[in-house]
Amino acid sequence: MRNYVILLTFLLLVSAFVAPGRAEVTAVKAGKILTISGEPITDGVILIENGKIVEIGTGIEIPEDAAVIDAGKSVVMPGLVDASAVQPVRGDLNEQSSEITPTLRISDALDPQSKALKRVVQTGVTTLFVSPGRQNVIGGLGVVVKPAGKIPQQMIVKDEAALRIVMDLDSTEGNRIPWREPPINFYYRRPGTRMAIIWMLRKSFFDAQQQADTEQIKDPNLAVLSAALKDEIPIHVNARRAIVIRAALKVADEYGLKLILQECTEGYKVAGQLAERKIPVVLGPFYYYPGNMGQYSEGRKVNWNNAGILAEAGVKVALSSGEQLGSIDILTAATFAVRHGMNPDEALKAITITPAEILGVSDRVGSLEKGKDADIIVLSGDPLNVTTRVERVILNGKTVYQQASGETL
Amino acid sequence: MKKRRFLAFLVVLSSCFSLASSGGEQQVLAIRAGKIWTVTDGVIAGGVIVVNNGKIQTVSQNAEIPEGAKILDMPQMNVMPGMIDAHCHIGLSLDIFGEMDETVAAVAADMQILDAFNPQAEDVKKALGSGVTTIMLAPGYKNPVGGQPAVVKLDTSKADEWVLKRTAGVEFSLMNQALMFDREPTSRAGLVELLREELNQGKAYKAEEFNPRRELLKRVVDANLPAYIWAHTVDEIASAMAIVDEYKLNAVLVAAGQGDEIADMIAKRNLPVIYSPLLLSSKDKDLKRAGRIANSGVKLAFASLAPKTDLCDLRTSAILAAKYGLDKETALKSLTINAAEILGVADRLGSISEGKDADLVILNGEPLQLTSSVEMVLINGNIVYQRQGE
Repeated sequence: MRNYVILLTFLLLVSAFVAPGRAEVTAVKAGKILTISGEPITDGVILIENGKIVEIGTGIEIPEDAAVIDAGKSVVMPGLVDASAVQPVRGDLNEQSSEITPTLRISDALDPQSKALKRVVQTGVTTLFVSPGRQNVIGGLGVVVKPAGKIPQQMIVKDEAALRIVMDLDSTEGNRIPWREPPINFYYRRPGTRMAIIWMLRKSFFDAQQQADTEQIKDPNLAVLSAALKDEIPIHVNARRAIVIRAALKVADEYGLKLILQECTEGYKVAGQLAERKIPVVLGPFYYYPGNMGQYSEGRKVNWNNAGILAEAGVKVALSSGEQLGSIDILTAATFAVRHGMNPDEALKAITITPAEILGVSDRVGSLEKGKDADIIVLSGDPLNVTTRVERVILNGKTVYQQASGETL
Repeated sequence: MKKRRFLAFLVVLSSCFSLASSGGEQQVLAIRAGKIWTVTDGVIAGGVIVVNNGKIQTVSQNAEIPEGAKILDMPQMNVMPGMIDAHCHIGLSLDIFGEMDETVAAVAADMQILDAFNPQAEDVKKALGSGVTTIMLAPGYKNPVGGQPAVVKLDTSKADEWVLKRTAGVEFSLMNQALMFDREPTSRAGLVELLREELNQGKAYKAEEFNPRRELLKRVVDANLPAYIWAHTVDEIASAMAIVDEYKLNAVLVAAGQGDEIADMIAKRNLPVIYSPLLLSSKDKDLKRAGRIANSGVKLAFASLAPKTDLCDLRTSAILAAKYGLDKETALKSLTINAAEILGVADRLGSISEGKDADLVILNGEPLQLTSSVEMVLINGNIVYQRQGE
């Protein structure tokens, strides 16, 4: 008993010394801070503690023991949010053995050591939305991650963030028609046409709706779809051409689904409808691959005016890399969107707070505000200038990339 | 019977042959050796091991040798416990059929690898010659659920005693090699999802539905049966840890090549690691990994994965690891007692101590020297291998 008392006293003493020992404070000084949520701050300071922003503004006293990052005249803005990022996954992005795989979680396959993550960080992106691939009609559940941590569990910001549906012809890729040869494996299956894609989608939601009334849904696939029907899980629909977008809107009307549209290269043709229904869009990729991609290149032609027209019509627009790496990064995409008619403020929001809102993580990332995650990038100049480069990336309060060393730390 | 030439330094009694073949009789054997590496109790210089009826009766520096005991007097020799190969595929005639993976369907939980084992195979004799007396015979990594591994001794002369565990656990694989082009799963996410579904089915299993596969998985979910999980890279190990956390499995990591990157997390979960073989041709960078894992507090054993890696025997892995940062005591333990503990046979095997099986390896040098070779191997007190002349 006495031993316990001594031990307890000792522990109390130790904790008295250790616990209030201040967490490390970092201060970022910069000539210009673009907060996105409010007015830009000139000659401001951001105080970071425990990976969160605790203070932001001008005339803030920097504690003596704080580590100071002096960005000089550089521009500081929130880490970028890529709402359709390259998947840091080894191997297949889709489970090919079945066409409808709503239970599939891409978070199970994340590879934190992926080189793609390092390159994404260098483009200023600190939050990524990773979703299953494009080869299944219902591919599974995506995840919002940060490129930090040694195991996937440490990367995850929000798991099961959205259900991926692909209505473009990409989802027919790999499926074969049993013609001349007998169906020998699971690749001989529907859909082979646009008609069948929409049929499969409608059937899946129909099945889920039938089961929704029963108390316990036995099929785990239907359980996920049923959650999507009840708006518990957002639905991301890949739709490029206007005809596909209209089909998506029709299915959404039939089942009362709330959609978020991806790619949407012909979105400008239906801008009015999208604005009226308050459907956000995630644009990207912004390049046209002229190679021979057959039917899967359908609707891939980039129209740079798209973003400006959609935003003008009142649609919530996010700019993304479109699951591509090494083509056009999202900061550059924003500059091009401005060149083709998008409002500069809108363009900056389209790579920060808007995608954060679409993904449902705007309470943590997307702008520089007190209490939010300290995901900060330091730029050599105006973000909407193509010659500007990313000088430093701070993720959860820690520097993970510095342009000088040219490498992710 | 093949004519044997005995080595000159051995004082071999005329009854040695009968000793080797008779087995069951009440026989007392005394081994006097230069150094006895007990593993759990340090090194005894110039000690005596008394073996009675296949078990170690006493081991000490000046044990009394009972009257009428057969004496093996080997003052130059080192004695260590029989080595335990924590994962291998010997005796499966791999070169012909590849009998370790039933890849037609993804889940082969109810298959027993022991059914395919041929104790007379050439590679079994080779393993014995390298000082391995007990193995975990395992299915491969190309199926998400590969089957049931077995723990067997390599002395198969007595029909019923050599199988220690017919179902030692269930083999799982989270490696990319478990993905196939034309059968489920084809993707990493699909692989994890499939395992989750199988374990969920096991969880929901009720005794009245007769389904051996689900019953087995039920035992795994209840942590009554260990799960041996193949995972090599960081993301694979992370997936394994996620599954282990979710279902509270009694699990062992197999391969774990890059485990040193997240060794602290493996240690925190008390997951033992059966490490893949270190080869003489491996890079320095990779040779250091085993040591780092063990130094983080993870229980480590080695797998030879024989005959897939034919270049090295089990002992070489430990020697190389010891050369690159693993401390020598742990290296020796990883070959013996650690492996025995991981496989759940430490009450009988893994060290030279009283009451344990007399599975002994006699070497002409220290165990962790590349130059020392195995002179003699005993299982249950019977000589099952003797080095032939050059």
